[in-house]
Amino acid sequence: MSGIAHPARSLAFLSRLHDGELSAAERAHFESHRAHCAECRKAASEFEAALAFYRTAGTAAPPSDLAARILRRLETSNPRRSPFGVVFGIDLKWAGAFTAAIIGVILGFSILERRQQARQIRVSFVRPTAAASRPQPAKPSPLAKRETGATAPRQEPPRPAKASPGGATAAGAAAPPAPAARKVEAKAAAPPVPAADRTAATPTAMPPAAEAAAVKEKKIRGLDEVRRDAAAAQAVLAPAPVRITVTALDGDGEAPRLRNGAAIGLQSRDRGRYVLVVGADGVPAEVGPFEPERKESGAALAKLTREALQEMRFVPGPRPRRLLVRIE
Amino acid sequence: MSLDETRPSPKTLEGLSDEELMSRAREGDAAAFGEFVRRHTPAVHRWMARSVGENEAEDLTQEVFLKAYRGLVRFRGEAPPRAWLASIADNAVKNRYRSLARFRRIFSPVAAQAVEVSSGAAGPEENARAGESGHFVAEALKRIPVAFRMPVVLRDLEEWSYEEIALSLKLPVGTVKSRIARGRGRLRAILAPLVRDAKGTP
Repeated sequence: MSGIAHPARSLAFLSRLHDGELSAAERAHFESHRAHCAECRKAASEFEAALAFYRTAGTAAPPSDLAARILRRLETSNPRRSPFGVVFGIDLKWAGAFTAAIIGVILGFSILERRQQARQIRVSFVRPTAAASRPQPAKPSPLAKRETGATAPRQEPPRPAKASPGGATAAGAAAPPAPAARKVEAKAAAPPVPAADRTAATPTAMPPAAEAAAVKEKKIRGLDEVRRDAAAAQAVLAPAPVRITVTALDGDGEAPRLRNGAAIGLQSRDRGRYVLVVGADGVPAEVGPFEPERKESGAALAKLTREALQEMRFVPGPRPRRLLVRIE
Repeated sequence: MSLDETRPSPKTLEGLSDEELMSRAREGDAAAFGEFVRRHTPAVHRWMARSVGENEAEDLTQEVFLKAYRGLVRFRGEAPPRAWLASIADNAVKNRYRSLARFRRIFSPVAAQAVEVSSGAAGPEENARAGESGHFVAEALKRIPVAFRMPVVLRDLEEWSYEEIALSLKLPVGTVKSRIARGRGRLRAILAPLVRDAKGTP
C-alpha cells in the first residue's frame, strides 16, 4: 500500500521529523502510515529514544578549578599577549631603563673619544709652528732649516755669481721691476735647476776656480736633487708655503726687496696683511696688523706671527719705510 | 598584569555580553578574556566530553581556549563568540583524531589497543561519576565519524539552530543537516538496543 516505501527508512526524514520541520501534508501522511506500518513506527520511536537518551545522559561536570587552570596555562604559555606585561621575564620598564643606560654609555664614550682626538690634533699642529717661529734670528729652528733646505738649490747656486756687477739675487734678477711692489716667492715649487745651469753655462765669466766650483756644484747637484726631493716631501708634510708680497705704503718709491723671504718661518696660519715700519738698516722696527679686526684673533697667534714678521730683513735704504706685507 | 586579576571588576565584566568581552580582549584586556574563559569553560568541557570522552575532555578544553587566545586577533566578529569557540572545538576534535590515526598507522596494533584503552574505555570511577548512561553515550560516540560529532553535539545537546551551526562550522546549512541526520542515525544504531533494554520495549 505504501507506494512511497517507508518514510522512516530515511534518516533525513527522521531528522526532520525530530526537528519538527515536516510540512503539514508530510506529517499527516506519515501519521497515517505509521498507524499501520510497524517498521516505520519502530524506526521513529527508536530514533527519538536514542536522541532523548543522548540528550539526557549525564556528563560529569568539569572540575571546579578547570577555568582557573586554563587561565594559569594561558599566562605561562603565552606571556607575549599581555600588552604591557613581562616579556621574557624582563619587566619592560627595566628593559627600557637598561637600553637608555647603554645608549648613554655609548654616547659618552664617543664624545670622550672625540675630545681626546681634538686634543691630540691641537698638540701635533701647534708644536712645530711654535718651534718654527720662536727661534732667534741667528739660529733658525729645525723647521726654518727645513724651509731653507727647500729653497736652497734656488738661492745658493747664484751666490758665486754675486761678484758680477749686477749684484742681484736670482729671484730679484729674474723678475722685472714691478711698479711699486716686488714679489718674493717662498715657494719651493720654483725650478732651481735653471739657476744652477745658468752658473754652469757662463764659464767664460768665471775664473778657473769658479769653474771648478761649478763642476763640483754639478756633482753635488745629484745630492741637491735628493735633498730637494726630501724637502719637497717635507713641504708636503709641513704647512703649505706662503707667498709674501711687499708693497710700499708711504708712497716713497718702490718697496725695498726682502732678502730672507724663504728663511722666515711664515706659514699659512700667518696669512693676512701686516704693516711693517722698517728702519734704514732693513730691520723691522714696528710690526702691526693692517686690518684692525686681526687683533681679535688669539694673542698667542698674533705673537707668533709678529715674531716671524720681525725676522724679515730688507735691503737697506736711505730712510725708514712703511710697508704693507701681504702673506697669502 | 595577570589573567587572575579579573577579581577586582567581576561585576562589571559579568554584565558584559560575549561580544563586548571579545572586543575588549582583542584590545589586550586580559581580564575580559579571563571572564570569557570562565563563562564558557563548562560548555566547552561538555562539548568535549561528548565528542572525545570525559577522559580527554579536560585536555581538549584547555587546548580550545589556548587556541582561542592565540587566534584572538583573527576573530572578526562575523559569528557569535560561542560559534567561533565551537569551530575551534570542532577543529580540535578532528585534529586530535587525526593525530591519533597517524599514531595508529605508525605504531603496531598493540600500541593502538593501548591507546584505545586509555582514551576510550571509561574507568570504573568515571562510570560512577557520569553514570551508566554517560558511559554508553561515550562508547557510542566513538563510533560516530569525527566530522559528525560536533554538529550533533551542537544540535542535540546544545540545541543550537542549524543556521548558527552552519555559521560556526562554515558549512552550508544543507550539509550541516545531512551530517546531523547521519550522526543521529549512528546514535540510534548504537543506542537503540540499550534503550530497548532499559525501557523493556516489546
